[in-house]
Amino acid sequence: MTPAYATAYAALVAGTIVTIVYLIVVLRGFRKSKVEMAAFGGAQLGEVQLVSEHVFKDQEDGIVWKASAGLILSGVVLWLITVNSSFWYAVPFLGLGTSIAVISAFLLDKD
Amino acid sequence: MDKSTLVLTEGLSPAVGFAVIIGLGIVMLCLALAVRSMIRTTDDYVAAGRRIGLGFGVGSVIAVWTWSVAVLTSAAVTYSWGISGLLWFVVPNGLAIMLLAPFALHLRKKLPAGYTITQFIKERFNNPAATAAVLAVIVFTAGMSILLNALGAVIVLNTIFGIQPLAVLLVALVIVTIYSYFGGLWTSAVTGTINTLLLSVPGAIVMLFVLAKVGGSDLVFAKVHSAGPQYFDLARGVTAAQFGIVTALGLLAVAIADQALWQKVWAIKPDRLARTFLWAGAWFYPIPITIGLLGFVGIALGVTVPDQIGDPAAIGPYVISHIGLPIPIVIMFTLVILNASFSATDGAFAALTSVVAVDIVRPLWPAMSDGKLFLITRLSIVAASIIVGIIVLLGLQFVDLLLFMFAVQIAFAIPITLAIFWSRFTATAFVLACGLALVIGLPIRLTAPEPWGTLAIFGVSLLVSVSVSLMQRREFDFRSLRERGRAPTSELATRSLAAAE
Repeated sequence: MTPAYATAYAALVAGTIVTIVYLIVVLRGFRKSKVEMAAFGGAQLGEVQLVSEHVFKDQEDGIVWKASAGLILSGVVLWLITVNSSFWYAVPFLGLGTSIAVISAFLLDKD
Repeated sequence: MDKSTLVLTEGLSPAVGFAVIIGLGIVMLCLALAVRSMIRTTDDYVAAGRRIGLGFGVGSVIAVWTWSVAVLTSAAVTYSWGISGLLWFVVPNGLAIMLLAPFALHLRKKLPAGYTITQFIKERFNNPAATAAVLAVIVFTAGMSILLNALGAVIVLNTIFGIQPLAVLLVALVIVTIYSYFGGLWTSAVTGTINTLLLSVPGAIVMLFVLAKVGGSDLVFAKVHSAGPQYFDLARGVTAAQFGIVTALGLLAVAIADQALWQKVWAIKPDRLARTFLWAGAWFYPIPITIGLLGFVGIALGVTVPDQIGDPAAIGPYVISHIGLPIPIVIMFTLVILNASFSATDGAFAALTSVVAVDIVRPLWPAMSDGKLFLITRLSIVAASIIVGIIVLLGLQFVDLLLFMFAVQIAFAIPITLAIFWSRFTATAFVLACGLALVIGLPIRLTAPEPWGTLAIFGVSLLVSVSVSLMQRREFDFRSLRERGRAPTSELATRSLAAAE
């Protein structure tokens, strides 16, 4: 088996594990949301509970540097593609990272 | 391996293609039926009770922004322009989502009872012309999203399985219409989150098997290098001039004109807003970059237009189906594109329901019961699907519509942005900026080479917005929006909220 195929099969195994974990956290998140919606009981159009403006103000901190970091990192990934062919194998694993990020989002999403 | 060895993998019959799209549709329908019990009112349907958390938020924003044509385009621009094409296509794509974070915070803080960007414009300006114009753009964008995403499904199913385009369009539309009908935004959020999994994991696996099949990345890298140094030039000027600037501005404008994204601004839990858009934007990047590598494989294999493919957009499906990959890997790639198509389409349907309920039916018949409103809102999905189907059957040119859509969205992007952030921006400036940008910019766009037309639309829009507003010397108090559109909270809802929190 060539190293390229070995990497592909490694991604297959890693992808299967990520898929299983992903589906488990989505199912848990769905059950939680269902309970929350049942407790909420529904609202008419325009019915909304106001939240403090601090909730929004607090989130403004760091937006610029976080977005800039994302932007620069994507540029660096593209640059690395042009300088080293070995890095091409890492790019698809970043794709698995997208699913891992969503898994993390579910795990961090605690009230 | 070179282009002389490229043959269509055996066994990729139309029946297999139909089985894949219908199978995926059945899975999505089962999910929608599971979600159905969460929905009780129109508010639940169009705003998910404003209770979408970080997980479903990130998952569904990535899915709704990953259009099927965008996935195909990432390979196509790499094939056509090299790494510079991928840079100009991918970087503004993710940035557009991350930039929505401050928009989301401002909008939710200023108009907490909002549902749509049209509603915000209506409350902000109280100007029928401005409201009607934004409503038209939002509906047009949603319709185009449905059309273009169906087009992505057409390209992949036609190139790989040889299914007739019209059959793909109609089957895809019927499937998404049926499952979107049941759960509204919650369906879109749940199916979208599953779609993100089915976009990222199969995309990664498929790409690595492609590299292995064609002899490894070293070989592809060397062949692309020998094809021309321009393919690895990130700073290639011609790409910026002929493709990059227009695409970057267009992508940023699409996000601002896309109610599928605005709808989530008012549906996500308030304390998760910024993180949702920042994460979604940042983790969107790996998907098109991964698929973009297929463009380099196409160059290395020597695939040419029009000998092997009719359009660069087909480079991804063509490579996947002609290098002898096992059928399950080909099906995985098909699933990636179909997932992108389904998630963006159901997002657009959900967006339309919010516009129909909040901006059309409720203002026209304010006394209508919630039961009737709920029914009309759901039926609007069926109506939209039929209208899109008719447009497809009429054989209108997608490319012309797409270019027109970009031009309109670019004309509205600056005025909508200023309406959200700048208190001195006026209704007159809004209407004049959008109108003049199109009247002056569109003819330039039609006659002069790009990027001049796009820059003209953008420039006129910005100049008129700022100059007219400064001349009018008015100041809008954003605090006045806080109670707008807000209904008295019912006893049931108040009690339930207290129990939930």
